[in-house]
Amino acid sequence: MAVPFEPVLTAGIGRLALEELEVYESQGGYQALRKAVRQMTPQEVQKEVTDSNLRGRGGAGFPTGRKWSFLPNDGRPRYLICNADESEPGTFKDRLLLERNPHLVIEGIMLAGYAIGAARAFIYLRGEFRQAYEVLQRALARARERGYVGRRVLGSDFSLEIVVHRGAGAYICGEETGLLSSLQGGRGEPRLKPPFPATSGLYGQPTVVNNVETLACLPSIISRGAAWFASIGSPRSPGPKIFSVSGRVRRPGNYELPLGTPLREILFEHAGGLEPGRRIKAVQPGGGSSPILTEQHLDVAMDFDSVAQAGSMLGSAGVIVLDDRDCIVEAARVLAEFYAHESCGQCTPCREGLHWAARVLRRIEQGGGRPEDIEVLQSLPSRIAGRTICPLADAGVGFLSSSLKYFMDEYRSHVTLGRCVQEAYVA
Amino acid sequence: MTPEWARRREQVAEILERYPERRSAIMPLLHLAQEERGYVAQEDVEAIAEILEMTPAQVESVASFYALYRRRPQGRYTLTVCSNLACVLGGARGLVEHLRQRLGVEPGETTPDGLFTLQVTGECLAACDQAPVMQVNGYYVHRAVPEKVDRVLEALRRGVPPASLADRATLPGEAAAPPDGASAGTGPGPSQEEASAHGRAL
Amino acid sequence: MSEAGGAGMWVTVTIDGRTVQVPPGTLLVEAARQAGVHIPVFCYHPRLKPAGVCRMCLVKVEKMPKLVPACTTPVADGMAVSTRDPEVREMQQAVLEFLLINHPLDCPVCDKGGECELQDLTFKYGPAVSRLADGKVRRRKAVELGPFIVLDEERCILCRRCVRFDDEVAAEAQLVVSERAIHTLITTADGRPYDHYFTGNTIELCPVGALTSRVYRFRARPWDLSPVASYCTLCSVHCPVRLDFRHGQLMRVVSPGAPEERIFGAPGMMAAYGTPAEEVPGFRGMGWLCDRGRFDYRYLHSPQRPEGPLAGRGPLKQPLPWEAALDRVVQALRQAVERHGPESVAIAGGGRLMAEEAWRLRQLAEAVGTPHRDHRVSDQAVASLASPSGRTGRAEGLERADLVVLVGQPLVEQAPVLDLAVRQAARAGAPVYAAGPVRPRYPGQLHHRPALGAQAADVLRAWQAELEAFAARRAGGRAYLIWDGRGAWDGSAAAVGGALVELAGALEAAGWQVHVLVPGDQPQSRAAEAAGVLPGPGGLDTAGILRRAAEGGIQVLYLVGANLLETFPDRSLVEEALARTPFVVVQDLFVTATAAAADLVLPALPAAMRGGTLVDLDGTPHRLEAALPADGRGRADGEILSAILARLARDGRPQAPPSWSEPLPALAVDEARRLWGPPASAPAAADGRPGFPAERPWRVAPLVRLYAGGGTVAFDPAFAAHREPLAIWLHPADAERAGVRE
Ligand SMILES: Cc1cc2nc3c(=O)[nH]c(=O)nc-3n(C[C@H](O)[C@H](O)[C@H](O)COP(=O)(O)O)c2cc1C
Ligand code: SF4
Ligand code: FES
Repeated sequence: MAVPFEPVLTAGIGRLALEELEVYESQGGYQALRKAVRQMTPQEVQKEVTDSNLRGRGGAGFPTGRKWSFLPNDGRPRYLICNADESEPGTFKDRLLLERNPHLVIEGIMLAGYAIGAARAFIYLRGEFRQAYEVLQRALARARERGYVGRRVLGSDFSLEIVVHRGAGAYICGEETGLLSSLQGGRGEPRLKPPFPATSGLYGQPTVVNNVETLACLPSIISRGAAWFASIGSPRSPGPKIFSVSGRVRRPGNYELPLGTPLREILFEHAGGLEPGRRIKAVQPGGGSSPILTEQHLDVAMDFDSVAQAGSMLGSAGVIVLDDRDCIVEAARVLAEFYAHESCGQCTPCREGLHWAARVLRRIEQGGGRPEDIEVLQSLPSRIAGRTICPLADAGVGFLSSSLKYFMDEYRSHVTLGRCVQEAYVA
Repeated sequence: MTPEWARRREQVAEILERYPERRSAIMPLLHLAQEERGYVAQEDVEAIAEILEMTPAQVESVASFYALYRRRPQGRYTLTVCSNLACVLGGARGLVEHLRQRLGVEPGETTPDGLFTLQVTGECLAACDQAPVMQVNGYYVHRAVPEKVDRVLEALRRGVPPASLADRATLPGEAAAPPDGASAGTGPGPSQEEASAHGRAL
Repeated sequence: MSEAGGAGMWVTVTIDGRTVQVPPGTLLVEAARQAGVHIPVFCYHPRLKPAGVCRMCLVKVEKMPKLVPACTTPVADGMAVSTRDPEVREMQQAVLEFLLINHPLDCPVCDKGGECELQDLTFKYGPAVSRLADGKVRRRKAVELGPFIVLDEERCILCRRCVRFDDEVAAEAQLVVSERAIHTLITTADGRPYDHYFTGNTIELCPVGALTSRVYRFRARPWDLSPVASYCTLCSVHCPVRLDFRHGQLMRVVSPGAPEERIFGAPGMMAAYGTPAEEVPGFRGMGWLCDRGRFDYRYLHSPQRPEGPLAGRGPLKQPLPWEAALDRVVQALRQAVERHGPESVAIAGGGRLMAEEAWRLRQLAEAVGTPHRDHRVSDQAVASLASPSGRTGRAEGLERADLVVLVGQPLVEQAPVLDLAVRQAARAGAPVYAAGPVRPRYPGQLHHRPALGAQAADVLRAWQAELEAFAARRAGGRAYLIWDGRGAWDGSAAAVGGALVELAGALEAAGWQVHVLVPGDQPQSRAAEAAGVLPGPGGLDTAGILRRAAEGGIQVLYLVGANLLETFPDRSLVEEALARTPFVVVQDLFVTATAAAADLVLPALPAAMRGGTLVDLDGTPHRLEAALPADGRGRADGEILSAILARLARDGRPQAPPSWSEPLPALAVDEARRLWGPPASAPAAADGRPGFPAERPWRVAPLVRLYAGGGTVAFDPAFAAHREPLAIWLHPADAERAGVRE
């Protein structure tokens, strides 16, 4: 990288009260929106985003410009949804933006809404994010006063209202079709795709669902240009990215770095490395849903394609680190219980299978494991993942199947010893 | 319709206005009921069903899907401890144990004085860099080690509103103090090293 | 199948090597059925929208990376599908294993054992051994969900068929999915029973023994049952049913099941069941039954059915041999005719008779020479009505109506399954206009105006312009005008019928197809009307007969299946008539209140032991075979009437009745006008009560209720607890006015 990387999304956080409209404005805030509605057509905004090669930060890494281009041109009202349901284990980047830089998100929503011609925008905000809700409500009120949101934005013909819709404790509402069911007033049960939200989304109308961080990238793309954005990080996954690092590192936290930064650099140069004498046991590079990587993978470039090649996924870029004292069975159990609890309950394999896995893991953890349990655990992932309506089931066995691959011995000895072989559990 | 709901007519109308279709208002209406009463009572279910032209069964079906809607009275302060992976690594077990002892209740229960309800959630609260973490009525307490928890409990008992105890999301290296944290007397939290060392010890 | 028309547009799919051609959009699971390949399913049901949740139907499709659910995947041309691939087999085992880990496996004590889809599919596709080491999740067992349904939460596999039915078909949304993940369950709203008129369908939809019948519970095992295809005879819709007998006892009534279901259903037991007598088109062929039709059958074997004729007024009656009883009837008739002339004899009732029997009843009147005969036992005026152009309304197709107009008593109380068809039409977007005493509930657009008696005529006129404009906007639509046909008593039938005919004419003039349907308040009023059990020239109708009897002008009153004390609007008139008539004969199933007041009771047989021709409300005849031999208690109505006719006839041989096989025409408008009589001069009965302003007096409207009345339900133990107590429904505004609070 020729030019040293400067944070884009988190710039100023900690130094400035960006949640105040005037402060945000003083940093060039809402200039991109002004530029868009005054000087650009929606098509031009869309083209800029397409050219920037921005890929969705919600987990799947789908190119944002392409997603928008799927909207049919049939005169039906279109909706824009900002997915702020951030609940992926180990992920806390959207919360940072929402609490500390809300106007950036709002400006991003307005830009996307302008580009696609949205009739209304919704922020589906995680129910637990009460502080973010308060910050957002205030920020929205101020932005409305200033003409950035609402009718005739900045005196143009463009109008767009943003409604904050609070979730109420359901991880599955982060999945876009679950989110849509929820926003329509139902249980947050995902549905089969196709049809995709772009053609049949909220109330059956064309809908775009974008992640908070995805939308937060838009203002800088519009003000600094697609080429600038595309030049950051990996060519096929460009742009700034917030990595949420947690677990056994000395300086956990959110690190905004170019996509493609090597995992080793994130962990050791930015997050402070491990405690002295510790070794990395396993890393989930993309939140609790992602299969684990081990020491051998530390040089992987943290972008969508490279992490996938290494056998995991970049997902939400929530990096969770386990070191050599951590019990793999316990970690597997914690995650299995979480996913079992978050299953919407529609699909048999997800509802019954994840619960089964969690029970077996808990029994092994507590010392009641039996040799046959290993065989059961091994058989479950392929009978759960890829067999259901939505990918929660896959997510629910990501850790289990990958850890069985790398730590079979530990599982077996946990069963035979009736307890953990790891340091912390040896009295 | 109960008098309470009759009184909320304007608020309800404002909520309905936000959505192109009526049914979308169910979650905000349930939130509204819960904010005012602390939980969603059967009469709220019936009122919401009537407002939205749904059956009470449909309202219950939706409400029961979401973990945050409570159907029983709760304590004045609900303490929700995160027990997902990063917090487990960072000492969530110790935090739960500490709260059980201090409050004398099991997860899911409310203290006899009606002040505190202890909840343990498997849902990651999105503050993994601040493990162990809990929320008081939705407001964050980062790095909730025993000394800090005790200070928070004491402040709540004194009537300090949880909002003023809240920790915000931070970037590494930023001071972790809440905006007016000093007044609540909680002070900055301990370092991650301290927190995890403590978690390990318990 | 390529010989079928338009084959060029069809797509070709290969399933396990068998090639079929099906219309585009066909679901894989259906295409497989046509190819003769069985794909196991749980959540899929051909009569519900696909849900794709159980994952039992996953199959392999060439070039697709993942297995796909056959129940939600439409075919594409050239698709090659395997249902036998090892990956598919493994998933079938896996899904069954998942479903069984928390299943109680209490098949020996489960009503569904022997006809359980889980049991059958496990046998065919399931894993050999169970690998569960942890205890099963415990849940509630034997939850009494509602009057007729018991839920076993442990057996439930969450296929959601019941919940989907309750929403998609019944439009009730009382039964819902609650909680989530492993805690997911099926339930009603807190503290509310599962209670509407169609709850029993969920028992049949349930693939396992989670939802079972409180009436049938623990009474039989499926393999001991002998099925007989039949029709329900409890209302004028005549839904096809299957009667399941054990040792000559009727154990349960179920839907015959659409033919395709027998293929999806579990192989084995299910396949052995008989087919319905004929394919029934439209919503009646869908197999949905109402709870009365499904659960009201224990009257059949009720010990309260008399063993033989009974003589003597009042509750204490003397048994009388049949021959003596019949002689006594003939003697009374002869005597009355000889001493007082033929007009001293009157006949009422017959709306429950088979068409042949109704025809014999009319023969009896003619043999006696009396014109005073009438099958109408309530304030029913007509049982059918043609549209002005002479069109006889057809019931099938109602579910696809473009417009529905309902006049009078709530349809669901009179012809429940017809109402289900209206719900379907309403859900599909047809506006429903209802003028009647109760506001009904339909999904979609409902326009209701409260109306009693002749007020309905005003409401119809008020709507006419709007409806004409609606009709003009979409040419060639189909309107269904459904009228309860009532208003004989207060004379409002003329006004309402007249307005209805006008509206029908206007819609026909706009190029619409108009179907006028009159559900009638007796299951066979249509047959009786067609057979001519109506006043002859100069004859009196039922009200007239009663009035004359009350004046002492009738010598012999012959009542057939007519419990007038409990059906006729003016009870004191009936009491007076019965008291003043020297000889009252009642031919009925039970010693009803009216029979108790008669001089002679001739016990009849239930329809299941008689057979004959049923005529649906739209005039369609069906042949009903006796499902059971007569049990010696009572004789068939037709037989009784024939015996009397034989004694009266000079040559001792009554004529043979005609045969009914073609749809019967409805009453032409002019004929109907004659029956509903002249318009009443005064408006419908208004009961002013003191204490309320005169301009808004109280109006009392008697309501028809499905579980009310003195017929079978009154003698059915299954309904004893669910007959509604006397209730008065108040409009909320009136309640407020009267200071009545809940
Ligand atoms: C189980 C599950 C949970 C998800 N949770 C979230 C979430 O909390 N936030 C989010 O933005 N996307 C989440 N997603 C991804 C969304 O479905 C969707 O892909 C994303 O919001 C699209 O935004 P993007 O194109 O900007 O990435 C989740 C997906 C799955 C399968
Ligand atoms: S996979 Fe799980 S969460 Fe997703 S739809 Fe199926 S049951 Fe629901
Ligand atoms: S039958 Fe296809 S998923 Fe249930």
